[in-house]
Amino acid sequence: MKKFFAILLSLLMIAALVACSANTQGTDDAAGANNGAAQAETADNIDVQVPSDFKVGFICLHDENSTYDLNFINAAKAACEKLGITDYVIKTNIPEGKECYDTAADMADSGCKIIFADSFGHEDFMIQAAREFPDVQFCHSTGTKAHTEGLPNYHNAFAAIYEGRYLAGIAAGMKLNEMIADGKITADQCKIGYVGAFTYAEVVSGYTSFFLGVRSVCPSVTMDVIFTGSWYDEKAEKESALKLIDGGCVLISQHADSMGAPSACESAGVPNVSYNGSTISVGPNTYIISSRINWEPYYEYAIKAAAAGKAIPADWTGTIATDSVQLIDLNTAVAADGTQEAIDAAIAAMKAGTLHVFDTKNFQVEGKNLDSYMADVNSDADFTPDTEVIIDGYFHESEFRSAPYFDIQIDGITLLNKSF
Amino acid sequence: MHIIKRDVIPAWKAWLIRGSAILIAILLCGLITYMITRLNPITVIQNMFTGLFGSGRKTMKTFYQVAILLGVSLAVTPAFKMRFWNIGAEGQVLIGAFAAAACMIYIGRTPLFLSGSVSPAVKNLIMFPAMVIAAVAFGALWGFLPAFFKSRWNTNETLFTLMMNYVALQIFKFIKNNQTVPTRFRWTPDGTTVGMINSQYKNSFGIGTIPKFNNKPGTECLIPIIIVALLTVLLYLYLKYSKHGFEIAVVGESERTASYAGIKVNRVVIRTMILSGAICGLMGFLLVSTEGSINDNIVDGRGYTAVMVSWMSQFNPIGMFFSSLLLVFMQFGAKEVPMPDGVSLDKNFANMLMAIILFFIIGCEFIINYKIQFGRHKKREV
Repeated sequence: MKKFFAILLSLLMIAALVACSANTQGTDDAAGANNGAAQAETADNIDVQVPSDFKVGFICLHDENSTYDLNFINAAKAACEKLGITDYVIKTNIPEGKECYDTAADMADSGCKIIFADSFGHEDFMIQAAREFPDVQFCHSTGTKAHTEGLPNYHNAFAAIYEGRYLAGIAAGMKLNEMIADGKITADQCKIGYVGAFTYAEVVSGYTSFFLGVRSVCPSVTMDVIFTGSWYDEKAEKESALKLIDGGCVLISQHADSMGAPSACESAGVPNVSYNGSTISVGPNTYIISSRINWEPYYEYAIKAAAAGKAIPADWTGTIATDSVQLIDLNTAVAADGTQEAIDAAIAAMKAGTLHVFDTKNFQVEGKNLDSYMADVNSDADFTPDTEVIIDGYFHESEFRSAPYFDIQIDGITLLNKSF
Repeated sequence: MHIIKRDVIPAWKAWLIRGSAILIAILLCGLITYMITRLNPITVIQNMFTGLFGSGRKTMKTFYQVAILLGVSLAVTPAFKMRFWNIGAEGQVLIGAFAAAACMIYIGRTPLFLSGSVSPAVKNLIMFPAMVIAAVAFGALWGFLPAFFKSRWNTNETLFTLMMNYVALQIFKFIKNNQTVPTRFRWTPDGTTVGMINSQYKNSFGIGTIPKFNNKPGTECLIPIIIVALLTVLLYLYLKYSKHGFEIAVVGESERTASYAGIKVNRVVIRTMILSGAICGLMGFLLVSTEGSINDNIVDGRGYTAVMVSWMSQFNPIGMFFSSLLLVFMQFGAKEVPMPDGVSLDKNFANMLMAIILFFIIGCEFIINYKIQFGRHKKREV
């Protein structure tokens, strides 16, 4: 009898699952023929008064304690304030799982017209929500799939932050030169450290552009990189920074979101270049400058576009021109003299088109300069390279899609671990 | 001041104490919420209700959460009734989820599943049984190991089951994205999260996930709810009326009595732990299959919360339903409360409220079992 029940139950379960599986629909893969990032459109181009009851939702991976999420939260508040929106919701600590979908669906259910998510791993779940709520716009920062997904209400955004990193690198290089001139280090001791989160293209692109920025002013520099395997792990970031300092690094930068590395630098008295927000509060004697993505222009633009019923492009790449890439809070007490002028000169050269961060003349791979590179721009199962990105002598980063895809290991950078 | 063990107090009194403990806990939660947010308590409760039951989809989702917590609570109950301190539900659910997800990923990558000419119904007919069997088997294995070691070498089951949680978590993390795992066995070639499983393969995406009826969001929660409801009834019958259930109760009262009565204690212990693990594994399957995704946090502490749920309901399935409902309401409801600056209360706040409730519930068991006597002249009880 018991066995009979057991069998009956299992059969029932299977039958129930299979019976309704006929409803599962194959996802339509109309590969959207969206081209890459053109010159980003800004909010100024849209003439619409956003109604004050226009409801907007923001989904954040962590909370205000993470510099990364704080950057988004501040931008969200600023954009809503600027547009006169009072009815907005910000949900924090939403993990990169089903909970992201649930939160997005909840927001859509309660009347949000446009919903933003801030973390790479949110992407699949935002896409799922976008499929189910076609009347709501879903905007995902740092994602890679919008241009191949072909959904009219799902969009990616990023900024050409590699330019910001390069500029921050110039500030770091100036500091190194100052230390050499002061006799604190010699030119061949010039090694810097970098605490990265994962071996993603986003991180690789970040540390490589930073390194190229440093090397543009301090040619003898080399760099060590440690990955922590987490976007937010204060202890690991602190330990990694200390390990780099013990290993002879005389300046540290990081791409991970806690105060771990900056506070380690402050206690060791090693200069630090920050990301996504000033960390001068924990490092008044070591903090130099921070590059940052300012999401406010994108939020403002996307909300206005949604209110006006205008199509939002699948990929939106903010630049220095749209004020999406910023260098903030130069700490003149620590930075070398003339840093601001050097940065301004580089910005002018970038605008004039004479300076490209990933100019193939400036980096080598195994002793050779590249003249061709196929990058994996369209995400697929096997990560096959699909797009030629070296054109006219430089690597075109963030142009074929908004999220970075520079994943080349260049000479001069040593990875101390790569298990993430 | 003396602390004295009470005689057994009447059931109604015990429940009165538990009821008032929960009430005080809720009031304290309300007070703390008010002190921190300065929001009108009525508005807070309204927000919680609309957040959890405001639409059909939200209601389904809330009851799905209740169902999963209830299911895990049911799973740990037989072992607890037997006084086997199994705190390994977290790992048993995770390893079940892991096995189910592994089926989705590895079977989903076979040529049969990648081809478009096989109908989804056929694929599901293969996938679902495979997932259920794998999840249940792994969950059962995670239950079996501590029980086996306990009965063979008298190891400490609390530590053993706790360690098994970490083993499960580390296995999952390792396979998921460690670069030393060969690429074709890796779940996320360069990512931190698995995302929607198989979303990169058009033809096998969605196979193994519980479908939505008429594509209505929220309806995918129906099947887990039904399965757990069935399970509740079955487990109630099993514990109350079957010979196994009786044996569990006897072993729980006293192992000696049990062995004098001719019950093979070791066999009962192992069998019951396998059952616990298997149900946990099934819950893991339901999680993965409903969510279509897996991450290290998929169990989200339910394995530990379930211990409390089972305990505070005195192993009564009906009580477990209401306890689960209460905990889910507080935990998920708190996240629906918006602050004036637009940022909603979050998980951390919700966990704090949970902790307050659990603290009171555990605390009241002390009051039920002991009494405190003030003054020093009382005669010592013998």
